[in-house]
Amino acid sequence: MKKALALLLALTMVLLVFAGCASQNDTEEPPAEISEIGATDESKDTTTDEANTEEETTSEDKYGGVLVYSPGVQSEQNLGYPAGDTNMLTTCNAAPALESLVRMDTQGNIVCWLAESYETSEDGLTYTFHIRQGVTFHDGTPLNAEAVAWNIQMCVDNGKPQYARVESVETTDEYTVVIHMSQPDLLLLSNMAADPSGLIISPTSFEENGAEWAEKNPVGTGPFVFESWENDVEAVYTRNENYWGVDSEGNQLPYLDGVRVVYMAETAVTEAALEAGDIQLWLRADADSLVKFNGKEGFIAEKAAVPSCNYNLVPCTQTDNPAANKAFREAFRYAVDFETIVDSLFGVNSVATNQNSIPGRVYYNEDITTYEYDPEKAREKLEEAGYADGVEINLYAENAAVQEKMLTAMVPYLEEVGITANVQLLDSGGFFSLMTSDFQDGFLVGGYNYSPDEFGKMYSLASASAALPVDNFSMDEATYQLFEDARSCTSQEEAAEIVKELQEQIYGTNLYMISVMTQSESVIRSDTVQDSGFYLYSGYHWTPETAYLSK
Amino acid sequence: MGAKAVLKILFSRKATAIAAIFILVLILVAVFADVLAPYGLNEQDLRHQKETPSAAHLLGTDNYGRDVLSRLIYGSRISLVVAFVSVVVAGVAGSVIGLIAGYVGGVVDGIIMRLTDALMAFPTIVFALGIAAALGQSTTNLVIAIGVSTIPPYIRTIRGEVMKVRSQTYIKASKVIGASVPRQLFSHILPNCVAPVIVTASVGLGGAIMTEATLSFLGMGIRTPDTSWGVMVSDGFEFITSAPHLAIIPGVAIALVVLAFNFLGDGLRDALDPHVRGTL
Amino acid sequence: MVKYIAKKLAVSIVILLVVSFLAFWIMSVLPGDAALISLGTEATAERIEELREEWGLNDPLPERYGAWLWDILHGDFGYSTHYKTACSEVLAQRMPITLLLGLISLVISVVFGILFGLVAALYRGRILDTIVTFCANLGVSLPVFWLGILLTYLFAVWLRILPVQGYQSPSEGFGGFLYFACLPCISMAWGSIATICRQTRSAVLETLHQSHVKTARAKGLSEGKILSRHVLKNSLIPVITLLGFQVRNLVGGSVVVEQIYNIPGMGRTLIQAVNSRDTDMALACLMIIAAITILSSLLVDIAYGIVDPRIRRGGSQ
Repeated sequence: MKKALALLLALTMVLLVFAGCASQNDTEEPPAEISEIGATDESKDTTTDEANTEEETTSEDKYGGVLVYSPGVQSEQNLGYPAGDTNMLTTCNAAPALESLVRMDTQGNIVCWLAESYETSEDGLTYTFHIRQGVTFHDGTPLNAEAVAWNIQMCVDNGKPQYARVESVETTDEYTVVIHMSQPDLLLLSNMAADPSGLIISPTSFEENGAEWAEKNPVGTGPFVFESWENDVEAVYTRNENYWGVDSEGNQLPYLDGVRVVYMAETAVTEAALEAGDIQLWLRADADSLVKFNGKEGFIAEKAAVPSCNYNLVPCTQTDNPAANKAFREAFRYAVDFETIVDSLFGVNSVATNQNSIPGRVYYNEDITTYEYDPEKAREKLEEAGYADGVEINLYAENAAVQEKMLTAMVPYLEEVGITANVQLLDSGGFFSLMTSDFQDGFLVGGYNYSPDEFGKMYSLASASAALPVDNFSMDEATYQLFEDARSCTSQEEAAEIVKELQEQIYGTNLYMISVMTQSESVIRSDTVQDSGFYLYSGYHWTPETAYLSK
Repeated sequence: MGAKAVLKILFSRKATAIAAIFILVLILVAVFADVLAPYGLNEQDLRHQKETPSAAHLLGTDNYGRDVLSRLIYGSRISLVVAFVSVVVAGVAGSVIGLIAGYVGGVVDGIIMRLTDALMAFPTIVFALGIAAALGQSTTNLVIAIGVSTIPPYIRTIRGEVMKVRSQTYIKASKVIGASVPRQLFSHILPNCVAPVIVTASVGLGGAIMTEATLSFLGMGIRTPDTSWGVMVSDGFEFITSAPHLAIIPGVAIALVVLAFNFLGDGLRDALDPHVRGTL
Repeated sequence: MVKYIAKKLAVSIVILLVVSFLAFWIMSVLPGDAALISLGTEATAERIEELREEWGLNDPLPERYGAWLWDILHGDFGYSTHYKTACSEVLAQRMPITLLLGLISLVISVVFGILFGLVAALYRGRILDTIVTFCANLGVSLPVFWLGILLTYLFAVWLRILPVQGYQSPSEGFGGFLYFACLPCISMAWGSIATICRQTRSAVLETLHQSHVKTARAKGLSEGKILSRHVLKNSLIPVITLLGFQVRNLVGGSVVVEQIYNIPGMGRTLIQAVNSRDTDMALACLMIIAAITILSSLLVDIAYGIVDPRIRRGGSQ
């Protein structure tokens, strides 16, 4: 027995020592700054600003190798049918194989891709695309106006809301496609660039094999050819020998022999795999992992230059509950020190916001009504709302790390002023169900969306024509009208004034929603991965044609 | 039986004595948590996250800057409550049912065993998810879920022992003598069942804490703002390389408590074993 | 004996029916449905309704259950809304993996559990007993996921001799299979080894003290004969009882282990199916799990009968 105790004590000591030694982080340091990806928007430029190679890497050296990466948990069931059922993360992992007509850089500017050029008419009712020549699909058929028109038409026929204003599509010659709109649509191009429905697949393969086959087999024009996909496990792509892209020296892209996507559920496991070298790149890593790997030998943590994933607190406004009361919402906003929460928990790749935009962007309203952290004012407003003796409220969110941390950190602040907050984390099914048909009280965390087009995000979350509106959430008519007016503009500059007014109405005067923070999509990679192409363009898309592995 | 005699034998072993004292201390800590904990349960300090043990925070802080020691103290409440209540639920219900099944036999036994099999066909995790969904996620429902899904071992063990003992010679002898049913149950069968039940229960206590931890890991366990050691371990895992003390400390706490329960169980088994006590 | 088995089989089928109905009902009670999850919040309300109609999610519960039952009786496991293919196709790939790993873990835990337990009992009080008992106690006090990740860090990240995650089927190379299966099986089996070891030790010790053993010793039988004829056989009964739940624990453990080691097995599929409200898939997995458990319980009962004829006779009195 004595021996047992002795063994036990020894084990405990060993573990505690291990714990002590392994915690190297000096916690007085604020979250480290991580570098940004692609501050410029050059697409195929292979002159990188990576300063870690002493010798010149010749183009020949770049060839070879397979990139293995983890995007976290699998989120799509549809890889190759863009006009079918898709969601924001669908077909992200088909990016090696599928491409779109245009792309959006991190500033929100439209860049040509499969379309060599395009024109928009002054009244915004006609779009003309000139399709790049000499491009073939993986099945050998050519990319031409007919193929592109087929893709767009299919999206229209399937009732995709992003194409709701398209009246007709026609081909005027072998490589020119013309789209006629019923009304101007500010969002059309950004949807074509950022939304999965904008990806182009081969009509021939689809018509031969049907929709169900297409969902599991993406056939496009991308730098890699689809090989296999085991659900929830991994997807494999190999090099497309006939890819149309070339690097600045004229060498054919891509450099990599292939790409493997491995789906991993646990943060700890993904970290371990990254350290052990089982994977070379980790997409959408969380804040703590980013801090940990930043500065670690052999790894680089990066974030997109522009934050694009917004988190909002959406109140239930249509039932009798505290959140429906504007004074209460103000109290809530004053009570929580959002700056500190965002800075200390997510500072490495996020920034606190007071509207659905950040300084320097075209839709940013500098004069918006702000609510700074002020517990005194919070108590005043609470009294005004009639809850001087305290009140209880529910905060609903999907059971994910970011939402959990955000809400948990808010609770003590709310408690301080007399608001007892119950954090309810639901699994996807429960949360979707709540959000679309069962939202009875409190706030829910919503609106996260990965495109740099801020207006597009606001539109899909809160406008009256949002595809799936939040249950029991409603704003006034004037505000809804602003949404439609903005969408009918023909340029971002024209829309800017209206959208800034929207920001004020939603996040300022009426506090219809509380903006918490906006996050940059981030990636952790081994330093052998170069030019990975992640997040050069809109949020979650990646453009892998220039990636290579240094030896 | 002589409770005093049992206790004397129980504490004659150092291991059991220490284990019993440890558990007692733990219960006291859980009861007086408010007095003992240096900080509040959710008192956060976002500027001092993930700190290693220091003078201000004896066991360090977690990723919200909350004091680990305080959370450990408060967490002991839920961990112990969940463990004890679910084991009591399972043990009492299971023993009674197993006793009936084993003694009565025949059709009743058949039905009980089939129902037990049906219950056993679900892994605890799935069962807990089902109950949490049907009743709503809460500590009470968690206890019900864990308790109900751990009944089968008790039923089977008791039944097995009862049937074994029932067929042994001295029982048949006592039947011939004419002893009544309750007498048979209590003076012959029950004493022989106590030891296996205690062993099962002591493992069950540890198992309950672990099941709760696993359910937390899969996202179905105790919810904020409450916490338990299981939740602390699964939350701490995310930081296993940057701040391992967050996962290791509550993990060690769990291991120590379970060990204590096991030692206690072993001690009780020996103390109650008629052979060891020398009456046979 | 044959009648005995046949009766039990018939009853097992009834149990499966009860289990299936309960599971179906629970799945329907969970908030949200397959269509909503499949399409996410960017779909239109019309499209969601469309999909609901297509998948029959709007039909009343008894009707859906009846349809499911009819299909099952014809060997059709239904359509997986998450994987968008027949459930049987998914199962055909994933079930063997879980079964194989589970079987290996079971064998490991029985062999080593009994071995260690025996050793600890025979060398009671000595250093060997202390070490084994200590390890066994540790084994039952560490949650599977904690153990799994700890092992991963030790062997895969620090020592780099085993992989962090993944699975390779034996058909692609037995060496590779062992390489990937090593840590998962150990993680799964650890708790069972500990439990079986403890119970074996306790049971052996108890038997060693019983009168008929003392009688045998008095008669002059050798220790070896005593061990095999009396001690082992009698101490096996509680251990056999344990085997029943070890199978269940292993199945539960496989869910966690498959999650950690990224193994495409049934456990992970089940969790995935419940999360996406993929009723057919979840039920298919549950039925198979239930069938396995019930089967093992049946085998346990048969083993009881073999090991202790008195029980068999006693039961029918």
